[in-house]
Amino acid sequence: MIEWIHPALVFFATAALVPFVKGKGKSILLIGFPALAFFSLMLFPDGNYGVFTIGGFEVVFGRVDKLSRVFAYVFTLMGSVGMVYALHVKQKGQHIAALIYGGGALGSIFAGDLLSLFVFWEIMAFSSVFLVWYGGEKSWANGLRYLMVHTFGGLCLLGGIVIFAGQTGSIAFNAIPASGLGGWLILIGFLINAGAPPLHAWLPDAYPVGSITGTIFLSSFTTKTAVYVLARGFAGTEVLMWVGVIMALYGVVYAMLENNIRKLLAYHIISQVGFMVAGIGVGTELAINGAVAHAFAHILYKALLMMGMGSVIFMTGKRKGTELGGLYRTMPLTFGLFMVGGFSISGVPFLSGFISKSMVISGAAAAHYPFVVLLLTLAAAGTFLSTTLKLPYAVFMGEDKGIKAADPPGNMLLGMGLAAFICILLGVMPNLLYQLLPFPVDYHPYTAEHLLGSFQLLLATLLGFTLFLYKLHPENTISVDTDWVYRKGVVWFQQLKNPLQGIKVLRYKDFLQGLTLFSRQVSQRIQSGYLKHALVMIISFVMLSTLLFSLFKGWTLSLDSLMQTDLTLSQLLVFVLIISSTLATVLFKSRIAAVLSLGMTGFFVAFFYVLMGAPDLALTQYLVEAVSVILILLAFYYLPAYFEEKTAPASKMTDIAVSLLVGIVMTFYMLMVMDSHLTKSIASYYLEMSEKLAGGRNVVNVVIVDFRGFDTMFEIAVFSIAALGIFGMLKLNKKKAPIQREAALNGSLKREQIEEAVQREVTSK
Amino acid sequence: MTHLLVLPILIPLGTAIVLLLLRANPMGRRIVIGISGLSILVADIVLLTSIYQKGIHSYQVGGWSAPFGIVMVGDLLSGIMLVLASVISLSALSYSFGYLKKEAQQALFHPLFFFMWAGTNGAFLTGDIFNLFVMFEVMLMSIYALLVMLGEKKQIEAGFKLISMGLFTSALFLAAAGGIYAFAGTLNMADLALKIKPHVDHPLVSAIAMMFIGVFGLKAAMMPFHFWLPDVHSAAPTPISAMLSGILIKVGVYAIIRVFCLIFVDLQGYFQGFILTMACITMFVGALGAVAQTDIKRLLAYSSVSQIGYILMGVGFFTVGGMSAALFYIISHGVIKSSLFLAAGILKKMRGSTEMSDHGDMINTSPAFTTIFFIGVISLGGIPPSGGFFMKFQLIKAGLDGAFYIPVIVAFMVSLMTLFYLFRSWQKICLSGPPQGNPLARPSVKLLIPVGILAMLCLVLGLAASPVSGLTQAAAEQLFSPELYIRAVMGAM
Repeated sequence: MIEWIHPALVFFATAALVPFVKGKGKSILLIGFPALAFFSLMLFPDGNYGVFTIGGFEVVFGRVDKLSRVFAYVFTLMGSVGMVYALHVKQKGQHIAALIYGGGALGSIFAGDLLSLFVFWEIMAFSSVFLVWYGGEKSWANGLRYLMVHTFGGLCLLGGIVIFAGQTGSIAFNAIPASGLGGWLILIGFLINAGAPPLHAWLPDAYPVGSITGTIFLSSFTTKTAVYVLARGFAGTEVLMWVGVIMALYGVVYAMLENNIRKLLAYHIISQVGFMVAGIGVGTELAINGAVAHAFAHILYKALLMMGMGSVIFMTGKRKGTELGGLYRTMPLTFGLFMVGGFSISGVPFLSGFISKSMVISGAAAAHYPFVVLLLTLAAAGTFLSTTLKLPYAVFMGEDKGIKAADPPGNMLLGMGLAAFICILLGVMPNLLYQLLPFPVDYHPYTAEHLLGSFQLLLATLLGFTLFLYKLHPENTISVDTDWVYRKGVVWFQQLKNPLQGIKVLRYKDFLQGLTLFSRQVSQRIQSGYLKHALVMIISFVMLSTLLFSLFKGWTLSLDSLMQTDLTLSQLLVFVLIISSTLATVLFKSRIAAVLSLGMTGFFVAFFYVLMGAPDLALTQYLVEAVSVILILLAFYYLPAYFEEKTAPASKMTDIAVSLLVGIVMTFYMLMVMDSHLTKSIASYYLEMSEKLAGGRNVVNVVIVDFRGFDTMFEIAVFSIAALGIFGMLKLNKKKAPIQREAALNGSLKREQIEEAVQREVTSK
Repeated sequence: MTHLLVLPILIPLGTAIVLLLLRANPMGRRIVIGISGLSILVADIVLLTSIYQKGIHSYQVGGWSAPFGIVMVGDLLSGIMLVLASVISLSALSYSFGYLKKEAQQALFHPLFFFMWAGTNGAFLTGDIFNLFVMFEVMLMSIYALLVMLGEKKQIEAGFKLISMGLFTSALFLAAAGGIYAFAGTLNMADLALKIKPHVDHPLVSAIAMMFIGVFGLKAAMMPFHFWLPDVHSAAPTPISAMLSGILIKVGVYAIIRVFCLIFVDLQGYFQGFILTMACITMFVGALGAVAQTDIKRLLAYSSVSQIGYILMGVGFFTVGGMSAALFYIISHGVIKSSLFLAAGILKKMRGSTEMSDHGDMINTSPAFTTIFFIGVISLGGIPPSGGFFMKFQLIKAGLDGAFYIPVIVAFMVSLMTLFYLFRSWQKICLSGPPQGNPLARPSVKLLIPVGILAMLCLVLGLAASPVSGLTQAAAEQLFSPELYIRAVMGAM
């Protein structure tokens, strides 16, 4: 017997199967599997399932209790309904993204620990962005911004989890105190997903541009998952109450000002989520019940509204309220179904919004927060005004713009019909929902007081709207003073809105572009592409830090070892010769002369070895010098004899400074090395054992070929590799020779000289 | 005495020589490459399991006893690096057959590749500071030869940069190795650890340690030694780019870990602030560079710089958790970045360019490519359930455990930038409309298979994170008990 089937797994499995099915089979799969997940939820009793221990932490994939179960019910239900609406969509990628997204949401709901919660949280973010991107090329920038905000939220969450787990030693996901860095970071991560201002900008930015069917899922899962985690982790946190009230009002105000029909609904999500967040903030059983019930109801009616507006866009291709109008004739069914959603969100009795929204407000009232009650009631009135009156008026009624349209395809209507049916069902039979709620419900929505109160509110708003509407028609005559107030009011309001939004959009959108520009400038400055520039930085950095790190360890200049050395006249002479030939190398303008004087330096060094009593070393040095001078001369045979380097005086100063730095640091380093032979060297072992064990008298040779023969073998390999590289360069690219040389010279020659050199080569052949 | 420990060095070295002899025989070369490539992998895995079961191995080359001859030492760190190297090398090798079309190129490419592999493995196994220098030379010279082999202006220029900076650090390495030999009278790393311990506060020791950071930092492309990397990684033939980012820059990190967990154990605290600062700057500057790029290979190259910053940060914590996280990071970044580079090579093959503006619409041209690239992107971006998530998670957890808040904040910021540049490039290459010019050809399956395998590995690393992190944890614990290493090399003392 299977212990438990994770509904997220069902969603993921469906997503994996989608590419392989077509036609009817696809329809059955897309609708049937989420439905199957819905019914599977009823089979298993509460408890913890799928418990693993990963890296010393207990990870719980399936915590089934009333709270998680009720969210899972509505998510799976919404999965099915949304899929019905989306059946006509040809792009399988959309279905896959929606399913993975739904699976991520379900996974977050059932996660009993913060780690798996985070994983599903990120899966949600990264699958949902595709639903935005499927809205077409115009949505990409929005999608990317959406992703960046969610990643930022994810990082806050992760940081919070790590700190929190570090403090408490457990990653179990239960109530989290909103104190300390960890708790706050987690709360911020949650609130970003909930769309709380000022972290809400992603929601109205991305949702309106998403694909028509994708937006249905988007508006269902992300914010409600956030409501769930807030209810689980931060119930009763007072700050949430005020955040919720602000959200509820803020969303409504912006919704009223909005013309883009889906953006209007997007602002409404913020407002409605505000109700839930406020309920959680109040934290009493009734209020939490209200928040959860409201989430349940909201998912369905908001999806219904989104579907209605999606159908309008799908059929007409227009997105703005002012472009639409008079559609009730051509899209009657859509209009009817949309109004069910509109009345639900406004809390009209006998619809789902009523039974949940009044619960939140009653919860706040019972907990004695009269101010909260007042503000939330105000927001509810605003909701009615904008969603149920203004929007349908603009789109379906209003002036007939003569737009040709028809009701959308059957599956879209069916999807809306299902959602509308559930809205009515819940409104009529509230106990269906109430019995699912986390706390026992002792609440009766249909009391005379409640009914009266809401009808009063609705009627008052309606009255206001008709007056307001009156002013909407420019051809209607209106009294001057009202007109003035209205116009000034609107202008003032728009001024208020525009700068606000202007600033917000500027910062948010241009931040990423600004980042790109800034990066380009900084990178160009750092990485100029000039080798010399890079070398100067590398060399001076190493030298300075070496000097500093030894100074900090208390290094002081000591010339003891230098003073103790007896310098003979011949040694001094050799030194003078070495130094003068080195200087000559730098100063000669002729290449050949420079190479020859470099060779001289080598020979003088060999001479020094002779004076120190190491003739075999001197011999080796002599041979190496001779061979390399000959090789370099051969290479230079093909190059012009003279070269002139043009360098700015400033750059020359840098060169001198870097050279001096290297000289000084290396000299100090050598002095330090000479002063500090602290322990017995292994060299004496070689001297003793060379003949005895390795059978050779020349100790240096024995070390090279025997004691450390392994090194020598690989040094030979290095030579062979270099030879292979040169061979390859010449053999594989015969035609490109002049270009190569130009590159090798690295711009240190004048243009004519290069041409002359190429010419000479051509004639010599 | 078992010779297992030198097999990962000697097999590639021998193969390189055999391949040179088989220049005229393409079929024979293929067989040799296949057999020896797989046998290196097997040898590495056998070695790692043997180290895991029996502890640190050591081998005296030529039979000369410890401080006097050269020793090879295999601890868990070396074992992990060897297996990682062979996995990436095998993918790059199989990819190279489809990538390098001309037989003449292959005839030279493969021997050089095996030389490079021998040098890399040698660097991971050697227990001798001068031998490490030699192995570095082998690697440097092979990369150089592989670069100039193609002989276009871009490669020559990059090669010139590499060799100039490389030679400077070689000279520095020699100075440091000479200094440490004069100071302690030995070159064996275990012996050095013993000899230096009583004199750790001597200024010379700090000077030498700093020089080593410079030398290894250049290999690892730590800021400000990273200048060579973007040019070299983008100019190199793609299989080599994958090797460079996947494993060769990790050799530098490996060497930093090795010297600071063995020879300069007691200087960890002294250099911690420095290493962490440099790690943060490297992270940030690399990411800035990547955001600015329009060429996908250069973008990936800068991203490698940035990721090296993350790894160095883990090392710089100098805690078991940080080290374990850094090792996990090395593994998953190696797999991810090489798969991304190989994917970029597919783009280059398709349209002859790696400029992102020359590409588009891969989602319709090749869904397989799009998926593979996407896996790479989410892995490097650190999105669960990929291996990339666990690498970042462990690192940040280690940072918070050790109360290193500033590096952790920098890491947070940089990982947002990472996501931004990766997703933007993926969007451009895969989602945007078809590019101007010739219609798109489908990428060859020959090239997709090795990339696909690496992408699968990215996911496997995420799903099976706990055994791997168990291994890195054990390796980190071993690193923080240097007496184990010293005992294995010098015998009971």
